[in-house]
Amino acid sequence: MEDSNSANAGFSDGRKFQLPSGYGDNKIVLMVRDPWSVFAYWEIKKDIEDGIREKIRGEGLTASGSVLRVYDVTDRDADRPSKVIYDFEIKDWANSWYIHTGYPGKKWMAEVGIICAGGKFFSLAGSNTVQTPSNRISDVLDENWMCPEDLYNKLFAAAGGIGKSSLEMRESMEQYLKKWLFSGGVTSGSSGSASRAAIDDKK
Amino acid sequence: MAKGYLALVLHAHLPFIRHPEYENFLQEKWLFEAITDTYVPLIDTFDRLIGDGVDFRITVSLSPTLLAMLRDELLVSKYLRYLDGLRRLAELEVERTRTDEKINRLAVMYLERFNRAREVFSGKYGNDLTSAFRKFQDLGKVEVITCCATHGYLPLIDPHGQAVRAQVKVAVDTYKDVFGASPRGIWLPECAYQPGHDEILKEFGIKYFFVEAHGILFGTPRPKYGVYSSYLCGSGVAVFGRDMESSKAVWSSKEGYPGDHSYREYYRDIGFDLDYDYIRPYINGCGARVNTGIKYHRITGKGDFKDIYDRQTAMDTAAGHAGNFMFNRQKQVEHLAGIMDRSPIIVAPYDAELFGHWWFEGPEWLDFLLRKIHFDQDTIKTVTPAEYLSMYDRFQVITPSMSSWGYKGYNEVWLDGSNDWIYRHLHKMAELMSGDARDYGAATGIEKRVLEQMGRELLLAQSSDWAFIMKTGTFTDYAVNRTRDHIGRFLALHGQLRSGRVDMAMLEESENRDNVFRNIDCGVYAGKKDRGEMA
Repeated sequence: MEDSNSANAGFSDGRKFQLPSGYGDNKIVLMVRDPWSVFAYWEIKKDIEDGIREKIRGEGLTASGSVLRVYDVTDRDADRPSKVIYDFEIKDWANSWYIHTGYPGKKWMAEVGIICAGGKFFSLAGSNTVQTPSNRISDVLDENWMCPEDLYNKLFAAAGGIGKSSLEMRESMEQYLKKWLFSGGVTSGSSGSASRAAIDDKK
Repeated sequence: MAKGYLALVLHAHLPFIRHPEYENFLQEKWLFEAITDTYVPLIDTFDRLIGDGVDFRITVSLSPTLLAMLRDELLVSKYLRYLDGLRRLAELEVERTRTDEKINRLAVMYLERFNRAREVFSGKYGNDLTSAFRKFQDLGKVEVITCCATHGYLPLIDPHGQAVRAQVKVAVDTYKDVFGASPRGIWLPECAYQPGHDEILKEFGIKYFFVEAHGILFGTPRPKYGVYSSYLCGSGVAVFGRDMESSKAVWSSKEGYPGDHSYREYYRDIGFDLDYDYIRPYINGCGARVNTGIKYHRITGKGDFKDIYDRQTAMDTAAGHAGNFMFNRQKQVEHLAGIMDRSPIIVAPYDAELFGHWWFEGPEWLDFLLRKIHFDQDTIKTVTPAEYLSMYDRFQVITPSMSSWGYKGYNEVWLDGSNDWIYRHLHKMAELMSGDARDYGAATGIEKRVLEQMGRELLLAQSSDWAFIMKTGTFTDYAVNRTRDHIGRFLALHGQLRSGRVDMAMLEESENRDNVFRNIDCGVYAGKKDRGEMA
């Protein structure tokens, strides 16, 4: 037995494994990052891409590039198809992307595909559906648990230590919450001591 | 009768770090420091309060990895060796500082603390601190709750859900092993909630969990009582929201109590301050300077100059801060009670390791606070979440919003350019694990052992600590290598299981090193529900 060989690293086993760059899958996965953005990663099988390119050529079209296409599927149903919100051009090397969706409280889906010179899109893989969280106080009221607006504002003011009650209170409260979240006020509570220890021994 | 309630919640967690291949391993020290600085002082505090007839309630979440490490023979023996080394160092310090009365008094304090830690850890609780928490729970003072198996960050670890179920099931099973009953509550790692996960908690008998304030405030429909009552999710599982004001009092780097100038300075340690040859035997085995835990200075101010710590002044400050905290909660409760048609509850959760390790005087602050609440007033009463739930028949039903207590309130810390590469592997592992658990569910012997070790490697890879450390940029090598190691071993074992050619040396080495959750039930990955869960 011996000591770990340095104060900082001390663990080498991870280096002996070469992690696969892919798993031979054909898929794209969406993950929520916050109310305004999602993360996508994907892997496309070569034979599927070759097949699609063959089809494009068969239709007499010219592929102009790979695209990450993002849909707002919040209101999708038989009458209302998904809305295409964004097309991002994918560089050859990219296999993941952060997407600024911009709208909290909506459902999102994405496809990786090939876009042709005339604008026709051929999908290579479609993702799961995710929902970004709302970042505001809900307008949905529960009739069994009603609370007069003024009282409600007072209650929310108490949560944020805001000592006033006014028509702008709700807005103030939302602003206060956002400030609190961005100030790091919550983050000092995160992570457990291991991570803190990780920081402390360095200082 | 009290006008309102205070639910203090301490979340204790450390990632599973156990390296039998090394005599000394730097990161194992995180556990040893937490035992000496936090867990033993908290246990001592609770024992003192009970001994003095103080009626108090506090909720403590003990993560399953922490439970496993506290009961691991190898780590316990390493801890005792570490602690005995500290005691020797403190004895030397008492001798070395004999001519300096102020510092010598502190050296004596450390020697007494370390001797006390030995007495509590070994003498009183038989080298198993979980027995202390079991005792406090049996006495009705402490409600011990669980956390996910390896502190997996639930909203990110599995889009399909089986791995989330496993994080909860293994946690509940571990809790039952240690405490002989099912946990009523759970602390979701990093307070991270995704709508729908309450259904999984319900499946495993969990009655309540916590979310960050905006998880409640941005919930749907509009929550009638803000964060000052609990709610039910559609699943019937109750949810409590964190109060921002009481959090800020302790956590805020600007306004929080721990930054008071009279409190002990964490970043001045004799491991760095004293002569190298003198301190060499008590620092890292390879000779790098590290913290020893013996610190003689107070925070003093922002500059480099640090005055000598004065214990009595620090204790007076802690008492003052406890009084201030109680006063503010009384005012808060009086205000809320006037506008609510039920008794308000203030939920104040903190990382346990803040107390004692980072905020040296934290356990004493808690001691003062609980005594003052018991003896000095009637406005507020401490309560456990389960007790609060038993007070009312009806609770509003809401869907909490996705949220966490990380920076900016969502998933950004754990999903970032520094760590996003892990998720394609974690998700694939969960998918492979589900397939293998289905196909080898009836396996016995070596195949069963391989499957179980795959489950352990998957769970360990999912610890939110690795992604967090990658994000913070310190000890990144360790976090990256741990992640790669668990992924690599998992994939190797999966390949061996499928091919039928098991590398026994590798399997045994993995079982020996990553020996957490010995009784892991991999059926959960196949979507299997056992009778206990169905009930």
